[in-house]
Amino acid sequence: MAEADPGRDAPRLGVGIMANLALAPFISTPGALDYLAVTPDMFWIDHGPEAGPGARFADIPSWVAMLDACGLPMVSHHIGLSIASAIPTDPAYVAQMAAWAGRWDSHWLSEHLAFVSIAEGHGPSAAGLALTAPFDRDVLDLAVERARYVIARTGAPFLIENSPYYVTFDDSDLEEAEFLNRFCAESGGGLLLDLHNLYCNVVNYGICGHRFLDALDLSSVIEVHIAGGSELGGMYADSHSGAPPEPVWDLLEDLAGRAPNLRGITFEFHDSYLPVIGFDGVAAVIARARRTWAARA
Amino acid sequence: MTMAAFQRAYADLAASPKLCLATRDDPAAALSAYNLDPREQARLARAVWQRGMDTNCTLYRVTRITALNTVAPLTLALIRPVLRDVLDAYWEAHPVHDVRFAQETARFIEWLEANPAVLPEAAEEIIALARRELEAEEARLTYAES
Repeated sequence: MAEADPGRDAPRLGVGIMANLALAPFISTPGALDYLAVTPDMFWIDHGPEAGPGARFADIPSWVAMLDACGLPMVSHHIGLSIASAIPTDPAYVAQMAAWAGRWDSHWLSEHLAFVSIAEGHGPSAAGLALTAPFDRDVLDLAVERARYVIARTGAPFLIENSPYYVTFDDSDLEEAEFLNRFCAESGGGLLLDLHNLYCNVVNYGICGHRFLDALDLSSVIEVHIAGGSELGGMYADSHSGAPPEPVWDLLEDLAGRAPNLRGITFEFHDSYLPVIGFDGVAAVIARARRTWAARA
Repeated sequence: MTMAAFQRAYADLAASPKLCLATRDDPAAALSAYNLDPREQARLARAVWQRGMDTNCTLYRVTRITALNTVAPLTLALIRPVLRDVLDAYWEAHPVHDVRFAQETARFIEWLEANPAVLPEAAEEIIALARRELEAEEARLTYAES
């Protein structure tokens, strides 16, 4: 079990949303949200290591302007660390994580339990998608070492997000919950529990989501993601296609009452689905999540 | 430790339905180019029979086409009747994805220029359109950095 609150002195923020440009009018509405979750990688251009120090990362002004205008507390949700990759850590990327967190006062940083970079010759290349590694001890050691490095360099709480997996490795050394518990206990990091990712695994593999929660050290959970999904090639996928389905709300209500260090609930949806859900639909999701937030023990 | 080789092989499978089928047929031969231990090879040999490997292959294609469609949507719409064949051939020639959309599109255009026969008769005009769309994206990025 984790001995300390991995969220440290981060405030309890409430209910937020994952930022995208289509949401700018909603985000700027006073009182609409308690905080903004930001994927910094979408707000900059990465010219790659060959660009050299100081020239690698450049803002995308139209996106950054939204952050300048919103005035909300922020958290950073990264997609480029590739925490489970069997390649050396990219120190310039971690330095950029730290710089971004400092610039926007991010209360915590997070990353997915997956690998997106693979070895190509003597350097890395993009896998083309996020893949979940087996829940093996050597993968755990790698992720723990990388998380400790990020925590040391950024000085901020760091969370790992559980992934949906479309391929399973049933001879993994550890069960997923045990892997996540050990990661938190050994790294000093916390858990971003994506309840829709969990729901994907419930649908695709018939596991019980509530029993999965029972197996987790819920004191590690600092942030929760909720989202909607859709069928893709015979599997239920985390497509962020709209409002969360009812079983995700059930999981949220179950979790919220027994995750003592929970700081925030983030709604994720892809901007291409905005015409389907509309701003009223987004507001309805936020309102329902706020009721759960207010009712938690 | 062969974790890097395993991840490379797993990613290659997600990128290539053809490699998945070859692995179903003869795992040892299909995966012989990777430095896998027996456990890793057995894992991937089982993985290619899972329905989710099809999903991974689809997600990979969605990711790669998103780069091109973001920068050159008009070009892709114009070649829609032959798009699948064009992309299959392009991805076979360039299996490593470049996450930088403009660079990926520039490479795609260079490949089209070297392989105009994959396009309909108005190949020159199609490539010129793709170039104009890329120039617009590069102008946007130049503004982004100014």
